[in-house]
Amino acid sequence: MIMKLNVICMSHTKEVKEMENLLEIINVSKQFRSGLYLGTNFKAVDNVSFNLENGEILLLVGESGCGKTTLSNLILGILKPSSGFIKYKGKITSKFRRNEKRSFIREVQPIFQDPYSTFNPFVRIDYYFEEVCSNFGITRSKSEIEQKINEVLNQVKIDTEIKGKFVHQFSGGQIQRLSIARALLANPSLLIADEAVTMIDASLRVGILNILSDLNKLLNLAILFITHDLSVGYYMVELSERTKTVVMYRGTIVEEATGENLFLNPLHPYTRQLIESVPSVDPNKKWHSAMKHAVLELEEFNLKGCKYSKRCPFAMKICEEKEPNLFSVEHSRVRCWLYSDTVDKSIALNKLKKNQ
Amino acid sequence: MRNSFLDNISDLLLNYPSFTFGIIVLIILLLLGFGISNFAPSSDLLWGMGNAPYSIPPTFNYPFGTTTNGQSIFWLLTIAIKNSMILGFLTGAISVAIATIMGFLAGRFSNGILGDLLNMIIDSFCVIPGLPVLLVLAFALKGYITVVTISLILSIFGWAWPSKQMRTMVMNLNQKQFIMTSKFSGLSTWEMFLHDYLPYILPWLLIQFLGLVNWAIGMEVTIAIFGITNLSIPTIGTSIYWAYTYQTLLLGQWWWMTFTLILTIFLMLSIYNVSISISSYLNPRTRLIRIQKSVILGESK
Amino acid sequence: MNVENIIKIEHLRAIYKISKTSGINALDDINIEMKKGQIIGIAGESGSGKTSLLKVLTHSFPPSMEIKGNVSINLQDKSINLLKLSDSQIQSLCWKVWSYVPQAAMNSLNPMAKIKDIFWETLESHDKTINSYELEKQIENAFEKVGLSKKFLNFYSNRLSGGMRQRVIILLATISRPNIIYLDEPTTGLDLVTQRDVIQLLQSIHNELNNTFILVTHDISIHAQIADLVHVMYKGQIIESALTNEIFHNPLHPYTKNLINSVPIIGEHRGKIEPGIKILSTEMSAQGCKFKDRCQFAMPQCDKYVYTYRLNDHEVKCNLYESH
Repeated sequence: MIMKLNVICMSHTKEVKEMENLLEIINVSKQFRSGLYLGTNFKAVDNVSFNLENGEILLLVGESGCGKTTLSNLILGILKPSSGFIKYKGKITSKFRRNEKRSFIREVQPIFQDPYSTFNPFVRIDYYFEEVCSNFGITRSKSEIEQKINEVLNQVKIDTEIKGKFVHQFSGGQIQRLSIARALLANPSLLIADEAVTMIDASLRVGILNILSDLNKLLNLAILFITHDLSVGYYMVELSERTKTVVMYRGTIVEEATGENLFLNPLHPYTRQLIESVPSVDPNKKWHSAMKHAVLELEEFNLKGCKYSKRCPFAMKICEEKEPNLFSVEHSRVRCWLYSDTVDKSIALNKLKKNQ
Repeated sequence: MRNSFLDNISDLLLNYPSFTFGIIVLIILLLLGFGISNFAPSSDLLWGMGNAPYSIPPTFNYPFGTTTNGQSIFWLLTIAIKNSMILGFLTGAISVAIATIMGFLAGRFSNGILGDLLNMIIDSFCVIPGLPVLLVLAFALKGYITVVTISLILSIFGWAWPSKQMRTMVMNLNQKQFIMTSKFSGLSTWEMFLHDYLPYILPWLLIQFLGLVNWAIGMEVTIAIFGITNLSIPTIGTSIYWAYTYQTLLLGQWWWMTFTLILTIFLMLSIYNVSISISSYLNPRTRLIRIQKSVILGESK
Repeated sequence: MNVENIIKIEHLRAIYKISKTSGINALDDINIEMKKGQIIGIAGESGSGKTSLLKVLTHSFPPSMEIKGNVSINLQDKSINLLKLSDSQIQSLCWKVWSYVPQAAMNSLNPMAKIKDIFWETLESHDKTINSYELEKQIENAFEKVGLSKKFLNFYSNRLSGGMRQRVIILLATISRPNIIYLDEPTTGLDLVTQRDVIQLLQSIHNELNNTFILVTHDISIHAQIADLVHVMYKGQIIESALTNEIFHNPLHPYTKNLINSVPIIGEHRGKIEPGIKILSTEMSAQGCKFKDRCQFAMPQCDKYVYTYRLNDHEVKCNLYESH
């Protein structure tokens, strides 16, 4: 991937050229301290690097505790990285000037996991929409505001009246759509959807995913889609044109690939396990193997070697001693010794063959 | 607010007996203090010599009896209530205002330099021993003491602990998701304070305010008993001071001290009851349930 | 009554009262017979009444709920009329006859208590005669069986991950070997890998205890994996019931079909899945089929009545099958 450093211009999205990096995560780490007194330090995010291009959908996949929420907080500016830096449109976010900060909070919009805590229960929903319009200089006249609101409501397929209503008057799925509508109103370049459909009933998720995919195609809107559910991720990849998937485990990237490659040809043992763990809707296709049970999360964070070695069915001696590098394999990159040219993996490969 | 102010008041009156009791007594005392006191004869406006017979027990003309110097305790106490209430509410208002500003800013910007600085200031004021410093200040300003100056002096220490609590509450609220939504909707800090933080801190603010009122009234009594105040202005504190100094209880003249204390107790009780009932009413959880109920009832019609 | 049935629900209705005259219909004429030893799945979106049903069955409904109808539990030696029990009777039955894992129970473990103390407290409160040494052995064995390390017993609950806590909760619920175990959304909020772990744990416990599980979740693929039969609920009613294999290979109700079709399948190029139902509006239909406002096959008679179609063990409430 060629990274271009471009001359910064925080102007309207459409003026930024195609195929340029909207968001660059460069060697970002975040250290936390666990426990009150004799706590240990652990890296919730450990030397993570990836790029998100304009109009691209990046899927960030991993189980809870893998660092994806910390990463989204780092991007949104809620937390500051312990090392490394995050660049938005080529500029380092922690060094933003005042006006750049203001542009950032308009252009990068969050969609949160819990619809019911996204909006203040004491405030009318339309208040948020009005505020977005007036605060970001989109329009001030009342009639134009109403028109804009109707436009975005249309885009998220909400046809009920929202004037004067409060959060609890809507269902979870409706609130998520309203949350997307509110974000759309700001005319963003990037949506950060943090487990946006996880708390929505399984049967209603597809509607929201359709909306996000349509918006990506129509408006060239980049989306950082964080999820633990690979079937949801696969659906987004299937519908969209330019996607990239990144799998995280305990703070590190274990696999990344473009398009459907990761789903159809998973390389890392963890990715395989994730795909296997998707419950099938066909009662005849049940899970076969039982899993190795996990040790404490904290212990895994501080492992010397590969963080997945305690759970990996193919773990070799080197896996416990040294953390693997990111190896390039065809369309993907994998952090696993099984894909290194120099390591003797005969035992492990036998196990792999038996499994398949 | 969806419900009108009158709806809220009638709701409170009907469902919270402590509110009803408190507000009625408070209104009576307010009438006494701010209405009836205006009719006090000129002889009974300040502690001093009066025209009435000395030290007589309650009669029709002198409902609370008279002082050792021939003043009607009734009129003096109405003025005392007025002054004490002014003092109390003023202290409460100033303290809460400072506490809110300092506490909110310290909490909202707690991960920056401003937050750390403000936190240091708040902690310093919490730790300074209040009473000795107050007494010294009162003594130093002896010539300039009025109800207003006492309020200002008391406010210097009244704001510190509430401010610390406010900071903790604000830091808690910072974690809420909708604060982020407001931030990314472009709301300014002031607008977020009004819409996002205030509904959650309002009940607490009211309790603090009314608690400070009572505290201020009590502190004024303390300062007065030490004699370090303008002893000619009728307040609850000075009334107790003079009743004590003239040894009225020892001489069997129970009426002066007793009526002062009865009025004080009613004043503090009524303020307390109003504060707990309003804050219970405004508690975010009960408020939400009320809003939801009214919406469902409205929708089902 | 069929001896094989462990629970029989007849004409159950439940209303959440808001004021003297108005309330929300939580359950509307529920009739189910549950057989012993099965894993019974109850599916449906939020608001369909599944949680209310569990609350009635576990007798943990709020006082503002008005309940009509009959629920009876059949044990080997006696039959219990659930709705007519007193508080003390419930207390004594609660642990031995049934146990309940409510929604998000893993978040309600006492963070100030060690795991072994939580077990100790719970077990002691239900059975005062228990011997502490025996108890420790029992708990240790149980832990090992589910693959939790013994050292976790000395940890505070906040040191365990969500999945581990859920396993502890399930253990707590099953350690007394009750006849019925109620589970409300046991996998919601857990990531895929942990979810699979929990489901496999439930399966193994069921194989060992051979009792009756009642599993409520909106996630239909969970039912496919573990349930023996499924009841689909919508707006307080049961609109379709069938054995698992039957309902997934031959769903009849439009809502059920939609539930099953909305699950994306990795590797299958199905393209865009259109929600086969209209977007939820807040209208409430009074008579006839409750689904008609969202149904793309709605006919005029759906306003007036709903036909119940039965074929073997497969039952569905839908006018589309009236002519069958």
